[in-house]
Amino acid sequence: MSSSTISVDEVRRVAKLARIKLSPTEEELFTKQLGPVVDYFEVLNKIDTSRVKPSFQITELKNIFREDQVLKSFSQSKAISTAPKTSNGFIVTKASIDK
Amino acid sequence: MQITPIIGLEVHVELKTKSKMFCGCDASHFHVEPNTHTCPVCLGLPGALPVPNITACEWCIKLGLALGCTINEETFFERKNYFYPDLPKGYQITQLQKPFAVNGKIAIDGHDIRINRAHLEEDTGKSQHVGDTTLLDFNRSGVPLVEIVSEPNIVSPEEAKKYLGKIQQIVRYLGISDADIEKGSMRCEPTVNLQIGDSFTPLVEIKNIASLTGVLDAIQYEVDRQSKQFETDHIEKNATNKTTRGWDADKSVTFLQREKEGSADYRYFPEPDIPPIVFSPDQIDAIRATLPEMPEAKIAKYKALNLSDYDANLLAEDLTFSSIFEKILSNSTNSEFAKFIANLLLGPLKTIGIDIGKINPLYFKNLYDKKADLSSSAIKQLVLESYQTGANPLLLAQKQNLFQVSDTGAIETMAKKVLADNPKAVADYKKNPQSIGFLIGQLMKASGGSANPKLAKEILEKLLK
Amino acid sequence: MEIKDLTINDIRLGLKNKKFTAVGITQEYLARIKKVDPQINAFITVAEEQALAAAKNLDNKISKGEEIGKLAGVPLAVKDLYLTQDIQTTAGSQMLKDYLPQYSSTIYSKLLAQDAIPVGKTNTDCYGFGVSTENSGYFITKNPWDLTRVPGGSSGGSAAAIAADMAVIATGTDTGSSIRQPSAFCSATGLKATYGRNSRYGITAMASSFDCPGPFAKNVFDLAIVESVMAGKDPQDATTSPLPVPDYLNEINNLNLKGLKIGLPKQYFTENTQKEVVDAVKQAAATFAKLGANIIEVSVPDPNIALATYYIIIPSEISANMARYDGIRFGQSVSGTKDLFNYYLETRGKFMEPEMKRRIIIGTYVLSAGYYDAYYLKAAKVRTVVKEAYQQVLKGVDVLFAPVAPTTAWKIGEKVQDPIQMYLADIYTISVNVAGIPSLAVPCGFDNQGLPIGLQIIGNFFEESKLFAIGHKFQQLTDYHLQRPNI
Ligand SMILES: [Mg+2]
Ligand SMILES: [Zn+2]
Repeated sequence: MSSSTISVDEVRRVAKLARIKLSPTEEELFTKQLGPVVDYFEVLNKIDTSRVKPSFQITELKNIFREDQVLKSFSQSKAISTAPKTSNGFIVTKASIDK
Repeated sequence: MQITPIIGLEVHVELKTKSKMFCGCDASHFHVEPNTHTCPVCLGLPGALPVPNITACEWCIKLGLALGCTINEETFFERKNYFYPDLPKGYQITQLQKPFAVNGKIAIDGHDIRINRAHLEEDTGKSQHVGDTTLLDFNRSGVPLVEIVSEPNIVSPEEAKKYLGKIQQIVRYLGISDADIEKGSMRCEPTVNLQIGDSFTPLVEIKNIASLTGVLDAIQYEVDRQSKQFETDHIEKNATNKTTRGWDADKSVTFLQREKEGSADYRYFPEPDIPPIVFSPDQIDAIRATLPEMPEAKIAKYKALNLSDYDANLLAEDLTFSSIFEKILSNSTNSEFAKFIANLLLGPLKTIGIDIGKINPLYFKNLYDKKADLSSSAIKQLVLESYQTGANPLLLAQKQNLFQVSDTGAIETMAKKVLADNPKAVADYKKNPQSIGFLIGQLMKASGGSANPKLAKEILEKLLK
Repeated sequence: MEIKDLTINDIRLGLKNKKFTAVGITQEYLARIKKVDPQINAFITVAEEQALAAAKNLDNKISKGEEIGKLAGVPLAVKDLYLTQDIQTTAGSQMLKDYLPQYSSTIYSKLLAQDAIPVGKTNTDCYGFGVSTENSGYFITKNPWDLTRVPGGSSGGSAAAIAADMAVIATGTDTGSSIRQPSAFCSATGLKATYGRNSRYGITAMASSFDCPGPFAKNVFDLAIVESVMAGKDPQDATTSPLPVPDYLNEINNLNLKGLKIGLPKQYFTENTQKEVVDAVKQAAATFAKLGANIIEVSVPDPNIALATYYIIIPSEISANMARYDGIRFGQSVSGTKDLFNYYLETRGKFMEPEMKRRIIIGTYVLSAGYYDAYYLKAAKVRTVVKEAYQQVLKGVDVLFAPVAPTTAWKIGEKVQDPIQMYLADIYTISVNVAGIPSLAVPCGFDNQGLPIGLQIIGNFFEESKLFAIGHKFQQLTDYHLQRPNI
């Protein structure tokens, strides 16, 4: 956790994982900006957490369920109303394999 | 050189809850108009939040118990992040660190297949590729799935098939899934490699298997392919050379699938929208108490009634069938009676779909008590007719004159006539007493099938002395 | 009394007594928006049609003598992160340009059920990613007190709409400061409720374990009315609390000042804080001391710790929450890419705002293989430490008084180049979000440039009643909340 900069390759790898195309300017800017942000995280190492349980949520709730009951769904036309491309009730997108 | 297959199975079972895992949409999706069972949650619309279905959670625990697993008292959901159009939120809600159930086993012919985990997650939508487009239907999105992961200690394609069949049987016994591979409510992804001498071939995960025999064939194909491949290239398994191959059922081959872009890095983290789930030991025991008697126990019980291995297995195959058997048996320990029922169930009644509600155990008892006076074909006929009409089989037998004639005088009269009409057969008998069968047949025919065959034989023998 | 000075109860009574009609009030507010908003840009969408239809509907109810809701006729501005089935919802992002949702957020539905009149959707940093509205995909909202300055954010549009009398109540979301800080910058009154008190269902998610929807108003009493409508268990949000919602209005005057213990956390009053801000907050404490309250200096965890925790966990949650924005089921998308992989890259690359990308990239980085334990898990553990420390401090005192922000509103453009400076603007609000506790922001003064200063009154879990009572008392003793910008 002590590296002070993040390489442009690291930024590219992460952007690809997040499916975001970055312009060269953005790549450069984020590379410059991320290092200091990650360095700022170092402050946490001052805290001894060896005997602390993590809080993945802040409420102390548990066992919040719904009963197995069928509720009303959207009509087909409503379900697909916001999709840019549709066909016969399906939502349409690119095929995963290019031909 | 010694070749040992190393096979692990990842099995997904779709639960047949009424509603989906995290929303109230109808969970059925087979032959349903596309995108008619959807809502903000299962379409992954902005602002939508998941609320877990309690029945799905209980069923996952139930299945874990039936698989001999330890149930984690405290569990939570996590997000598995990846992009695919049929995964509307861009992450799947699943479990990684704390599955509902861990460390179970299933015995296949005395060999324990170890189960690593059974966890609960949500299904994706369905995508259908047409040309260079994909048609998306989100009716299946968010349907509850249990993923059962075995350890890689399955040693043959046959064992893999049996293991899968066993899981299918168990979930059907529990009534929590149809586990129909053809309909996709049960899916199986084997991971296969081989130990050849001291070497291990690279891991291969096989996808797109759509039938029980497909599992057998695909694994067998892969075993053969890998051993040939190894002979030529001697490439051994390492941390980066795992591949995914699809199963082409038409050509009966596996083929290399194109790698997904970017390395798989699912960035799991705990699902912040769903509070953790805690089942107390008492609650887990209460679920345990709802488990039906499992097939293994039933088979043992049936064998104790002197049924054959084969019959015991057949009867225990599915829960409805074995329930019918036990309903008729009505706790009787008479092994003759048990065999009598088994023969009927596995015979005439096997071919028609029977409804347990229409079964009257008393009728079977009646038939059993009178079986000496009825021919076996008459019994078969009566049991079917009685089932279909709901009538008492003994009344039917009477009406149709099916009771066998045990009146010695009447049979003797007919026997004399048969002997007179068949001098050649009588002569044959003198030379070879084994040939009496023909004469018995003639006598039965003359009586219209109503003569008691045992009595007929005795009388003929007496007259021929 | 001018119509723009009316409170919730003034409007409700006026309607009941037929002093004016809902349509009349609505038209006046719409006219004010038309006149003033071109200078301020608080609204992304003005919902003239929907507002008038709701008002007409309400007038019909009144003429038939039907019962009317708690918010009858009250002009409501809705942060554009709230899904509204009848009004386009952009979340301040180009990704959702022209998006008309299929459903409405729980809170919006609750407010409409009490006959509030939705006058429009307010500007926000895209998905709430910011503290100034400068990260909006549409335009920057101006601070009504000084048009060259930011209104704060991310709920800057809502706060500006309240400050400039374009609405009587508004909705916001507070993930790290986004209700309190714009309240402070614009001199509005706002509540960050206890996490889980108000439903998140139907509000675009930023960071799920932090997001707190909440109200803005012109004074604490009105704020308590709106919160009493918003609050409560929502079966669609598994993280909402089943605890009953107290009768806030009944409890708002139940305050025993004698012996009230007010803690001043010393970590919030450092040399990094503008002097006038420190003075104004201490002056507010002194006001209560005069009436018998005890002022006690207390110590809380270093706010930098909370900030670092926050900037690990929130981008992680953001990176997953933003994955659904792929232009397939809704939203903008590109066409003509060679395959699916490039479709994703280009759609998300083209329509996401830079801050959205920045946060997704930080979050994806900290969650990616090998970093989970060092960052996410560590931060989740520190979160426990911070939460427990606040619980401990709040055992010794009733509430904490603290500045909302280290400074008053800054100039537009002043901090955009430096994300860390921007993130540090949240230094005094973020601990509250990390701990999950409630905090009320009330106006408590002006600096020498006439810019508003905000006071935070921080309480323990589900102690909104106590915060309202103290805030209400403060507004009975002071008139900062009644000051209006010249606009
Ligand atoms: Mg899975
Ligand atoms: Zn749904």
